[in-house]
Amino acid sequence: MGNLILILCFFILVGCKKETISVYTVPKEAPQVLSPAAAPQTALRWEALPKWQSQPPSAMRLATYLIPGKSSTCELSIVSLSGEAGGILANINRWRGQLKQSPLSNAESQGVMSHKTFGKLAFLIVNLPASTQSSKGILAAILTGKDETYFFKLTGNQTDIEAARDSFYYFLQKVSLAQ
Amino acid sequence: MKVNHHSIKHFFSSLKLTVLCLVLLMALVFMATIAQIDLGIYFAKKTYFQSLFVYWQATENIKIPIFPGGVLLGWLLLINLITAHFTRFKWSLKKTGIWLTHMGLILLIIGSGLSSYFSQESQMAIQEGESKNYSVSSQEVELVVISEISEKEERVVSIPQSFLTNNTPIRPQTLPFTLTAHQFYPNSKLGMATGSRLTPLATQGIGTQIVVAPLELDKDNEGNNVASAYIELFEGTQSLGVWLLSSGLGAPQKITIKDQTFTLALRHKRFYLPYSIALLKFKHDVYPGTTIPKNFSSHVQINDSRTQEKQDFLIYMNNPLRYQGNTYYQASFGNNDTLTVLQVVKNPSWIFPYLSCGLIFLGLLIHFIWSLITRSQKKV
Repeated sequence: MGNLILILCFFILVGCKKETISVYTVPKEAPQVLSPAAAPQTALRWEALPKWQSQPPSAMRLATYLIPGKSSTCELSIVSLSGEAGGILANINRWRGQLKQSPLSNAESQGVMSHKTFGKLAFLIVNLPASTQSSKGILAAILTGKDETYFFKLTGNQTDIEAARDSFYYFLQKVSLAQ
Repeated sequence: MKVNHHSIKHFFSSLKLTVLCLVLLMALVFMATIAQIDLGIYFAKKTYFQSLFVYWQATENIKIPIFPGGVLLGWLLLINLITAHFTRFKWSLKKTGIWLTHMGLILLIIGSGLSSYFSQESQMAIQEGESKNYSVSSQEVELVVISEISEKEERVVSIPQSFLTNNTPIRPQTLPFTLTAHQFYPNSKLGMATGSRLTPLATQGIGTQIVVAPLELDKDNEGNNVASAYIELFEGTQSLGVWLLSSGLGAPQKITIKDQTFTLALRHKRFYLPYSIALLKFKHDVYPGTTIPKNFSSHVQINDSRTQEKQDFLIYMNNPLRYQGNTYYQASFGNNDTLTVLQVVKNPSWIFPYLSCGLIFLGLLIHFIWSLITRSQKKV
């Protein structure tokens, strides 16, 4: 019996592979631009237009691009959120809050929404033009996937948004969802 | 405690032990094969072959060993073979074949143990025109705290995933703060707090706007798992807040303590290399007139600053790149054929199976020839 206990102790000592905290020095990494291929956890696939400038990712965004407008640039952000992501109205009012505009009721929100089909996908387009409170406006497209909702939000001065609108719609034509 | 050396020697050199180990190994392989359907290959290997025992999870905190694991059986078989080899077999010329065969078997088991302990598999995804100096594990994550050393270098403190699951303080010596992981989810879904029924648990950083829903681990597509953790930082006894770190967040978060800025992130575990690999061109050829893939190939260039050399190489199916102990296989691709995904295998004990098969073959051949000669002489 004593022999058996000794033998078991020996195996327990040699059988355990302990992990440890490691410290090392590496070359500094340039901020990575997240591309669809680097975010395999999402089914969304897209293709940025040639003149669009990729930006380093920030939390929750799949990608960020700067799009040339009439006088300056617009920012396009692509965000994926689980399920219904809080609902369309909640997100519209969150964007209106970012533009310093007052929230809309359900009935009022119908006036800023329209449905468009690009390629094989149906998008809900939300148009929040600039107002006296802010010179910035938002043009957004919402795509409902199987388990996620995708938001393509174009933010910038109203004139730049108008100049970038066609590019934005062309971009949406190329968006697809992997099976 | 008195140790009876004779009974230990008798126990370990016993033929009954050999048979018992082989039978238990067969049962283990059978169980692991069935379990692999639900667990996936990686977790089946870890649960059945890379552990001392196979455990039954009685409660959340209690695991009971119910069957010997691959590590225990491997050790028992190895010690049994070595002890029997040197106690039961008295060497003579006519037993050379048996000796060599047994040596080959011993080498095979040693090799499989070393391989299990030291081998490492990871992936390297490289976009055309870019280069990478690290590969990434698709199964494990690490919590990293990064600080700048100079304009060109940074220090990385890497905390393994196993430290995040037991809610005890983590005290890396090189950091002016300690960490405690309150929650760790191997797979999760992130969502905006607005309009959600869940409440953000983080008190600092971007996590104050995000809610986390735990999910079942996706064992079929390990790269799709989004690991998340709630980490509380302490400077001495003072809490610096609870932070949400997740591999699903697009960018790391920063904290400044004692005039030094630290970057916090939870990311897939990285294995850094002393050289970099650049993808010059990825090609996806199809048979003419069809969409049937004919060939996938990656034209890469190794840039080794230690030797100042640049080497070009074409990686394609059945033609991996072997460099500095790593083997790079063409595994996958993406992003409209502009991204290559290489499987990186590091196995320092790769030569053992070849040596052992060679020894076993030689031993059996010698034994066969000797037996043939002996019988022929007896007949004469």
